[in-house]
Amino acid sequence: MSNPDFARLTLDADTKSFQAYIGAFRKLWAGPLYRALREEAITLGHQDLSDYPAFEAELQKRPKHQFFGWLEHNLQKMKYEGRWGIVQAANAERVGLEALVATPVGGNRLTEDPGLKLPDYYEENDFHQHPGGLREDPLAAVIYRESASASGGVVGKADLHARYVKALLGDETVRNVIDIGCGFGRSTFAFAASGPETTAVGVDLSGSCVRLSAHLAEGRTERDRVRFVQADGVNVPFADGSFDLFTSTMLLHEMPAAAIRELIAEAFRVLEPGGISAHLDFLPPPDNFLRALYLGHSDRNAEPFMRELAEMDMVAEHEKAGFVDVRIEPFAEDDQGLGERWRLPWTIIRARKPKDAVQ
Amino acid sequence: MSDSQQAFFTDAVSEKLFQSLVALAAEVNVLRDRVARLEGRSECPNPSVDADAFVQHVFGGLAKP
Repeated sequence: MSNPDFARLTLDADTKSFQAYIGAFRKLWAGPLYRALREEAITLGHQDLSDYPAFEAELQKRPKHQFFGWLEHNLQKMKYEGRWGIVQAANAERVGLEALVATPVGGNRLTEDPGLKLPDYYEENDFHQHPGGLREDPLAAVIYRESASASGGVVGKADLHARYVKALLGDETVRNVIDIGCGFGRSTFAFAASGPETTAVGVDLSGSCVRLSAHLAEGRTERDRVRFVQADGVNVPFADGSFDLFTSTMLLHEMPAAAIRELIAEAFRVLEPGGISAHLDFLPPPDNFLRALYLGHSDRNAEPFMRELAEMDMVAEHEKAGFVDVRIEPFAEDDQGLGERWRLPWTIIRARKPKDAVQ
Repeated sequence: MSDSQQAFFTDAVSEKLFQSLVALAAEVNVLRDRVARLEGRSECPNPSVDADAFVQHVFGGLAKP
């Protein structure tokens, strides 16, 4: 039985209206308001990259930027909170939904680790303003999935992950994929669907996420080729050389630089010689205005480590770990073209473990 | 933890005023849809389309030069 609606929230009519209002406001924010702000920004001085601090200070004085920042922070917050927020919708069905997600998962698709020591950065941050993060609430993943699609969320876009797989692999296939920070499984499913014999392991710190992902695998064509494991991506329970693709989607920007370095080292360890490491994430382009919005997002949306990621030399970091052929490329999330509405600057960071690497 | 007191406007009164306006409009939007359902104007109201027009009508001026 295909079950994409497993543990879906039942939003009442008022909640749907409210979430539609948030979504409509996000369109105004990311479209007309962004374009108006951009027009104003190009008239400012300090456009040279070396003058970034002065440019940012000028931009922040502008009323349009103040509206832009307010909306970015508060629309996200409103989406979750209040009487028509997603958290309240989950609470209204909490007893039944908790019982549902706690039901046993078939096959060998789920490995939980309730005693997993969570890293401090994960304990201390409610990334993208998700109340309580994805750590303890058994319904955290259910709420996350709803928030991703309820009002224009990025990760809710139906074909985002399939596009990433296509951009990364083209017509090639991979055999064994490990997908770190798998969330509610969309990226893992997309990689597993890329080839008839491709297996994919989704890994996440969140027990709620791996459990929901394993449930969602039920009824999917690739259900016997996916597994979900609760673990820290910097220390996964797999032998050296187990995979030919190590990947993550929207994970790096939620990790401090030290943890990213550990992740890169772990990728090198679990990849077989010739294997590929690839991350879909966000990096600021060489443009003061876009950089200001990128760094502003970090401050406004509880993504404190985006600044550290922006400062890292990802080519050098990968090469230091032993990787070769490191490439950093822009990624288009859809066919609508870039530039006319604000989106975070999608980037693919890919590298290859040398074929002659010592295992 | 996210900072619920994060400020964006140069003065606190503007901040509170805008916050109140956005919250008030949210209430109005929910009530508009509720009235539409009660009056049976549509068998299947589309909150997304209605909300787009409503937000553009009320707040579109933010993006005007």
